[in-house]
Amino acid sequence: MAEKVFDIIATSKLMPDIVELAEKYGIEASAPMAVDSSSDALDAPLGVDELRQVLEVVTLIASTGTTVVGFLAAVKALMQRSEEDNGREPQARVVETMTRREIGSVTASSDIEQLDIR
Amino acid sequence: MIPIVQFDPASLAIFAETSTVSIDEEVTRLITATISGDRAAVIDNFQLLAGRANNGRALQLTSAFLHEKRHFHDFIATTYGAYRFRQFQEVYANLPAIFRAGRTVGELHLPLEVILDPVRRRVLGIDEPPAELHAIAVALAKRRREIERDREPFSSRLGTFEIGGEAQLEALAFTAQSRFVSHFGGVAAHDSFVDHVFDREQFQAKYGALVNLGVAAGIVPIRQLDGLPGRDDGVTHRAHVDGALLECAIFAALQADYLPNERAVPAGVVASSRPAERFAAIAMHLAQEHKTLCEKIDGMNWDDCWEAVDETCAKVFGFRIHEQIARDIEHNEAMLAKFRQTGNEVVIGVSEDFIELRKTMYERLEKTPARVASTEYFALSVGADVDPMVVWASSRGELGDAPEGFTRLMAYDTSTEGGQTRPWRKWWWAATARQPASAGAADAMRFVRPHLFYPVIDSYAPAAKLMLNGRKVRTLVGPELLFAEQGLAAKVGVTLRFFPGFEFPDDEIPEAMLRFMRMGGDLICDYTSRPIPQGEATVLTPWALRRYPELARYTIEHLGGHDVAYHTFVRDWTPWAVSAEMMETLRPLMRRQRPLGAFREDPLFKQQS
Repeated sequence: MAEKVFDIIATSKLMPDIVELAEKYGIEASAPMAVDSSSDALDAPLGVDELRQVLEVVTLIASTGTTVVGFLAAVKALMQRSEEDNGREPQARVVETMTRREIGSVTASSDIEQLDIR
Repeated sequence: MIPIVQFDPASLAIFAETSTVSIDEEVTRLITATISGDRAAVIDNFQLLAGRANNGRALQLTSAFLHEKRHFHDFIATTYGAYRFRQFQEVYANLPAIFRAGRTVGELHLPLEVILDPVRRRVLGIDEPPAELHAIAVALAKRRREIERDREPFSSRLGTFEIGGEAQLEALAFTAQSRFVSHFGGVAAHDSFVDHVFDREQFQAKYGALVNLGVAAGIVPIRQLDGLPGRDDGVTHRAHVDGALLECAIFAALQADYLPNERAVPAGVVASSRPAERFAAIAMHLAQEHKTLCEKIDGMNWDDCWEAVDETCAKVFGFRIHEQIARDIEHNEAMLAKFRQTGNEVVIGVSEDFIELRKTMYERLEKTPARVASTEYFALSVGADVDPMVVWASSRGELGDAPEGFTRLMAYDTSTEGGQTRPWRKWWWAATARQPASAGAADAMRFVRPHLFYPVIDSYAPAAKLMLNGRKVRTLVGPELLFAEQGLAAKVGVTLRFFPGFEFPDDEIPEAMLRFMRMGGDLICDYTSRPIPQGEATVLTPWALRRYPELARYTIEHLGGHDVAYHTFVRDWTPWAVSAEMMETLRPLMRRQRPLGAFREDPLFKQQS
């Protein structure tokens, strides 16, 4: 059966727990890596951009789609018991690594069955 | 994000988008006066701006240059700024080693950090990297993580703030900018200035955070003033905020210690390489040990504030502010000794020039701290003490040669290829003036050998950014990354591959942002030339136009399908506005992205310097 390779993007606060969950499900996980650039220019207030959220990305390799579904259900449970410092709803974006296809976002209220895991 | 005026930490140059900033003659004159630090001309031109309908936009644009000049100043005046620049200098010095290793394995996977991880290597189907490349990747990843950690937002009951080094640099630059507008334009000008931003809430969060924090920490005294005339809701709408102690604290917090393992300091003091941590330590000490000063609402004396902060640094960190800077300059010199081994004129010369400026700044600080640290001094003197390089960028590409007296930095020219004359095949995207802006000001700090910074701007800096972050970088000039990639491929013979997710910059531009930048006029569809009703526009960024091959081909056909159309497409790196109706046609063309690494081989992206 073909392996499933996907990325999870979440805040640095949530990421250690997500990686721990992946390992629990037998999913290989890369080290988390910052999504944002440390090389960006400093800009002036006219077109002021959003306050950054410091997001990290991990790349995961699962042996089957079923494993992915079980893992994402566990991520949903993690979101239900987590809180973000900034008061925003905790969430994890799931993206197919190679194609960059958006699989969906896992929040405390996501329907995992509805996520487009092919 | 639409680039307007930005400071590039990798080349220490200010980049300005010509089409956005050149509203009219008056604004251009004020911008020129601000860049050159010409106080008399600034006073004259401010008077001309008073009462204009688009005063807010004009004030934001012109004062943005002072803001960016302050960034240049603080990259020289603070150890944090120097540390940020060192991040890039280290990559510049290591580029030959990186390319050597890349040639050994045939290609480089970027950001370099991805090769350290066995899972990511499995995804890419590559083996462990050679030891030399591995060591460089480890060092780059470490520094990147340190910068990210310092930037992590801090949550409090007042909201979520970023208070790390970058936020502190922004606080100083914005304070200088705000004082500049108030001083030369008065209260009315300042009101127009703060009103003219795209998103007020974001603006407050980004630029008001440290003031709020300073107030909460008790180091910013506030004196309430009367309500605004005409308002009878009982709310006081104006307050006088005395930020003298705060700005001294921020300036001192930015003198982080990057030599923690080489310290010989008395027991009981702390060393921190994180400006956020230093700021917290300084603020707490000031609030506890300098209560009278912190509560002084009838005007703080700047020198008293400096002395209190300087003394705090000596007690908490073991070094006074200038001592901390002197140690960091020594560290810089030790690095220069290593850079000399590369034999690379650019790497060595840039480092020498940078250290020279740091020493000059240090001497000024030791003699007159306010001349260096005070944002009021900086604003009132129009930043005349510094003379950074300004790169004029044109994302739409300007046909022909760069203007008289300018050196082109990023350009394209195949106009005489094959013995024919085709003027539409020659343009420039970035150029800089050969003469310094404030050539008349003898003591303005500027690089002695600006020509050494040209290759930094057009090749070293973008190459370093590719190594550190892949293409996921906020670009200054649209094509700069592809420009560097092609240079590397041609000169070094290395194929660059990008890890998925790091192939493109974040490239979403909201419709409202584009309308704001185009000053509220009709937004015209770039395909149909018809006005787009509010809420119905999609913005196609230059990267979107290039990452979907079918969309690129359709667009070239739409432009006429001939050689001129093709080159117009290659030249234009501006965002395109598209109507909802037109998007129906374009959306199906955006299903298949260009495959990994295919940019270099595609004739659509052939560019020349």
